Amino acid sequence: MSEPWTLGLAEAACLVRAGELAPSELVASVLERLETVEPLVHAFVSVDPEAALAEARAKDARAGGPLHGIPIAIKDIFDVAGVPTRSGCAARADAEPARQDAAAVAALRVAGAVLIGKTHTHELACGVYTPPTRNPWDTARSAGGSSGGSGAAVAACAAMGAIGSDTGGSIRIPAAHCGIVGLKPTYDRVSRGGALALSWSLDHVGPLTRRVEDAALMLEALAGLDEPLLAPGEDVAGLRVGVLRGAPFAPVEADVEDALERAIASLGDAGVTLEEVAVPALERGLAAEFSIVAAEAASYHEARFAETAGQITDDGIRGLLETGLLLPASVYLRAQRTRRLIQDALAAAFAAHRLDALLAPTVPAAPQLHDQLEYRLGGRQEPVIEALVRTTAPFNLTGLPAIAVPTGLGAGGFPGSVQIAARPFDERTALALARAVERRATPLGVPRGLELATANPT
Amino acid sequence: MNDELVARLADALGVPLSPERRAAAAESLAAQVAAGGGAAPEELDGVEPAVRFEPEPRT
Repeated sequence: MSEPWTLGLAEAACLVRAGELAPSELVASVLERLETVEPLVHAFVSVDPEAALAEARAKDARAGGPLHGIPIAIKDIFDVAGVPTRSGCAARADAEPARQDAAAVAALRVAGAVLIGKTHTHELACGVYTPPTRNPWDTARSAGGSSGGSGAAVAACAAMGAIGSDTGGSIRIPAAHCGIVGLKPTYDRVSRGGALALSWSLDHVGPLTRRVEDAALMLEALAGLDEPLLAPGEDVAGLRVGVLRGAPFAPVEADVEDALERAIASLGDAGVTLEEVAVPALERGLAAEFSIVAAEAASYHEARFAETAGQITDDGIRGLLETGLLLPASVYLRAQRTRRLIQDALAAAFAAHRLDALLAPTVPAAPQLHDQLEYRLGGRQEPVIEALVRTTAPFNLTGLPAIAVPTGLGAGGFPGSVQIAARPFDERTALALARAVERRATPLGVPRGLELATANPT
Repeated sequence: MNDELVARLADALGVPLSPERRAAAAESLAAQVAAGGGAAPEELDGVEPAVRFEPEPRT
């Protein structure tokens, strides 16, 4: 058997269930890998190897749930009993340890997962950079955000899976930047209890993994589903998929267009019928998203804002909260009404074209440099945050399940990614289509930025 | 939207806003108001807000 840390989550779970791999062996291997790569990627806020190993040893002698003995990382906005939740914010540096697990964390424990550590988040889960985390494909670049620590940890094989939150792309953006799978389930499919909120009506909780089948397994655990979401021989032939190319999914870099074409070809090979679909209402999404986030985030933090404002490091987040506290109610409500327009427009597109799912680029460009504030796309400068959120926010506003899946390496040397969105609560279809893309994509292999660490695992 | 107006609004609402942050807040607030949440009022006539999330597709 190859080193256990190289296994996929579902593959490892299968070996553990069959008694061919001990949880302690698996966890020890992943912790060793973590120790090797962490100095390069800075994915973790805290790791407790002794506790993780002790928990894994205790699982060696007994059978357990579907994630029995699987090492999982937790974004540091979710409460983990006995560990502070700092949310990437200096104001929370001295936070007391949480008294109980967040609902999603508790669900993972019930399924048998071993929690190995907490991962970095962009401050208050509001941003697309996640300092100090680095991208495993190029450490000079961002892992994306706000679940960037989770994305980098999973891509670097320092965890078999992780959980993140997605308010405007915060699971799918790091997944795309790091070359892994990120699943934002249907709104409220996974409980938000015990997690820091950014925007109550837009926040989603979901997994980041290296393979589609791993994401399915994690979602089953997180949502407490009894039936498997992915059957081994599930066929996607005959499904109908709408391809979204117009704004806000354009403009994009050439590599992103290539990734979309590869996914279209893969799904066509699998017997899927693809059709170009235009939904002009989606162009309004970014303005609605930003108004809703500003108002809801400001309200969530209002009670503590006077004390903590000075400790918010990211000037943009402080400004967002200040603006949210001053924003007229009429603008917030207009955003929520615009959101209804968008929901109706997408529902109408599904109905008119008899679609099972939608396909679009996950993000419009390669990972940004740590200090890069703008992309040049379509001949004009565009703020990085607007570029990355404009392609992901439509599925936060509509609450539809959306999965980001790698399409292989692009000419520029970074992983390509597309997202597949399905009807509400139909994660099964999104996962099946994502697996069809994954099966036809060239495997990404070890991230380039980690080659040195892999070659010299000391 | 000018700095003085934003300062008075912040005062009235009890929002802590230091003098050096007024200009940025005014600019950001003006941008949000101009964006109008994504649509003009006349485009939203008859449209209810999505304050209650309905996961089922509407046709």
